[in-house]
Amino acid sequence: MDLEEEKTKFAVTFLAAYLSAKRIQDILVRSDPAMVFSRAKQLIGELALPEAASQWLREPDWKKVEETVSWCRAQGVRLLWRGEAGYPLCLEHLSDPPSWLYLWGKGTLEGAALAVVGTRQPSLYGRQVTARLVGDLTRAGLIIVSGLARGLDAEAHRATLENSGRTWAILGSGFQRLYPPENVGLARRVLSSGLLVSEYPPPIEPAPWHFPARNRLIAALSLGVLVVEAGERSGTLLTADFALDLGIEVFAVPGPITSPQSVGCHRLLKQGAKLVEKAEDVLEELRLELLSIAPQIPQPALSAEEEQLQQLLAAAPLSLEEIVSRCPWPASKTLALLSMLEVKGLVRALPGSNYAIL
Amino acid sequence: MPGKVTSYVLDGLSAIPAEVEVDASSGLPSFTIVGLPDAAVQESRQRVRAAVHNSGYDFPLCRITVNLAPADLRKEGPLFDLPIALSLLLATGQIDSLCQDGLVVLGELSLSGEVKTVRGILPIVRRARGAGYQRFLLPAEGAMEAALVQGTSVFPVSTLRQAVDFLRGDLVIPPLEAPDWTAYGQEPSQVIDFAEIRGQETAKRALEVAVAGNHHLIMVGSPGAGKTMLARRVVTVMPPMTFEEALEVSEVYSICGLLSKEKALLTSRPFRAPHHTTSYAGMVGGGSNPVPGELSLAHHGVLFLDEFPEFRRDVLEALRQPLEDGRVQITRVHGTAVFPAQVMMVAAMNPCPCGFRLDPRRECRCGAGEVRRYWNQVSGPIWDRFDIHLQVPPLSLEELTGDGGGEPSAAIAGRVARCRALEAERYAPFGIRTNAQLGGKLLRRFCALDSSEQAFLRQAADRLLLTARSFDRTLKLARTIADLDSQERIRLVHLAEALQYRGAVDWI
Repeated sequence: MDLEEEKTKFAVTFLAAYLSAKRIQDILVRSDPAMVFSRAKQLIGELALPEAASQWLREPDWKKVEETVSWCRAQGVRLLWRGEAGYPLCLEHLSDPPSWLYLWGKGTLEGAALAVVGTRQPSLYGRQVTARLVGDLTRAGLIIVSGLARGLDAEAHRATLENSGRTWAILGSGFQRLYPPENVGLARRVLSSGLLVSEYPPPIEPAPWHFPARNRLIAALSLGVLVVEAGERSGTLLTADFALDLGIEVFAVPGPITSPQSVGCHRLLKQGAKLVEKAEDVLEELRLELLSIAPQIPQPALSAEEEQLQQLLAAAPLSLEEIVSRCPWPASKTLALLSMLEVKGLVRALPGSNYAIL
Repeated sequence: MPGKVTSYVLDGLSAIPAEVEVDASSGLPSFTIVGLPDAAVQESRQRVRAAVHNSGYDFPLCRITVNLAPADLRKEGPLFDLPIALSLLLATGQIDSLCQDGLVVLGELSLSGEVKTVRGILPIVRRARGAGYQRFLLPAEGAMEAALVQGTSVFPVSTLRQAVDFLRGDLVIPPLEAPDWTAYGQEPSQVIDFAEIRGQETAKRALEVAVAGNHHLIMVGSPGAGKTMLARRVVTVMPPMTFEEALEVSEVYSICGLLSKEKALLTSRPFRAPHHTTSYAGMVGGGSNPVPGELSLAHHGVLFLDEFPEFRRDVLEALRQPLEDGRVQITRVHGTAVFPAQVMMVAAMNPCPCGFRLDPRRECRCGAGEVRRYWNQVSGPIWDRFDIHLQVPPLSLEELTGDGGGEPSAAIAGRVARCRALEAERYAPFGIRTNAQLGGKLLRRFCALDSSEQAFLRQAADRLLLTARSFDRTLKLARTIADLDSQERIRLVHLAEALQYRGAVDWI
């Protein structure tokens, strides 16, 4: 492929900022990507494209496109077109499969993947459950797919990385505009062993309508969708809806009936989602029993005191102050024991100096 | 023949002898001061004229020239009033001759001829004593400050007349006797005590560790969690100041005119809590003739910065270098002033702008962006100055104060003092005093780990994603915890406890 053609194809991908995947598909049915700009006038007329998209077709910002091409080359970002080798077949089940995907990081979009999604404002329980389930599922060999959003999405990516697993983060913005900003560091870590995936060229800013589109990809790329916590009108439920449309299994974790963060999950359960208490529930349903959960290696040895502390935390996450007041030892020793358990990967510190076992 | 009296100029904390010469010669009546006097010194003329007259002496109608030498140094403040008046009386023959050689004179005059105290007596007398002066004629009100300096004879006067009589030899003033230092050492016990705080065991432990190694500390917690209560009690567990330290602190207060008449020596460690609207100069010190700021007023004590992110960005950034060096350097066109600033910084902040993030009692109304902006107010390098990041859980007032039963400050102070002594002894050859000051080579040397500890810390760094900086901080803290435990080597438990003070969990 010569340079000019490559540039043209990159320029076509910028249409994602103005048009839905379906409209883009309409364009590409009528024209080869390389010919889109030369046939701009005809396409605009035939498809009654909106002004912003027409503007881009008539006069693309070639400087921006060139910068993008060289940035992608420098960073090792791949542009994968529908129909090329490596384009995941599962996306074809969508009514509006993306015509291209930008990929950044290690590996391909192949393998048994499970989507783990949840609210952006999780409870401590939600964080604990996510860390625990994702840890087990990762060790069973599943790839964890999520959206790099605040809250449980980030928690899912983090737990995967901690267990040396592979994770895919599907974004609603370009790679140069990672969103939300506090997860930029997390995105870098995802790169080292997994993939960042986006329909949007690197310089494209996030927009509200990108996220539902992103959710359909999360569902389509996975064997099942696990919803850990979702509020009454959470965007997470949208991902579950996409999964239902695609005939993909939906899993939900129950929570306290008093918790607003579990309302969405409970509704899913009533509608027939599979209830998940432990990782095996997921593996069984997906007929992946053959994948066994590898125990943590090496199984850490615990002192009697560490076990006592672990049992104290068994019921629910506790605040540091409660832990210290319930333990028979001075604060200094309790602090030390908590660190020991943290380093052994059995306990996790949650925001606001709360601790939970995994 | 001109009259001549020795006085002193204060420039920052350094003091330079100044000769006050007065010449009264025939000519048109005038009264001029030369030698870079500032406005307050210029105004001396009116005060001196009135004071001399009202004390019953003659103010001659002739050409009077006052020279303040060295002529190239700026002179500030009213402390030359008394020297000028005496010099004038010498020049006009109303005092025969100065029968007091090597006498340093300081003092402001009122119109009626009373001698009033001036700022900076303590640092001036200390420097002057170092330069060989032993005899001082000082305002009675501030004379006690000078008497603290060993080997001085301080003659307090409260009127110009007394001063003249003393110089003429008509009046014998017995040198002021310094009160016994040991009397100061036995301060009445502190009014506040850690025993009043129930619960918050982790916070108390963290504060103990912080004081033991002089580590800077930041507390994050909802309003009413008791952050200020805890911070105020930090000074109660610090070891008592040595006489030398007390002098250093008192000097700073003397320059600011904050020493009280009765108690010239500050014996309890300072606790300064500047408001978050404090200006740059208010924090680090400044002014054309520099005065110390809050940083120096907290010397050898605690600088408490509540609502930390609300402080102006430039004010926070200005803290960096002084915290590193233990002193503030203020550079002006006329030179550089240096003030001491060895402080333990205790900062407090809310977890979010409204303050109730993750507080089970109240709902937080802040958006994620707001919270992030709030935390970003504090730059990374400033964060790195805090060795201990502490989360203070929300407790109700009853839970906090209750019927006491906590460990009294004195018990904690005992452990801290032992630990500090250990550190001081160990670091004596290296010019540092506390674990917090460890860095580079010294850190590697005194925080060397055995192989099992090394393996643990490496594993921890991996799992808890420690940065290089937090790795070093953990080592320093582990050193302090081991010292509190009277252990030569850093053990696993010490490292493990230190890890809990890293505060890595985000609040967004």
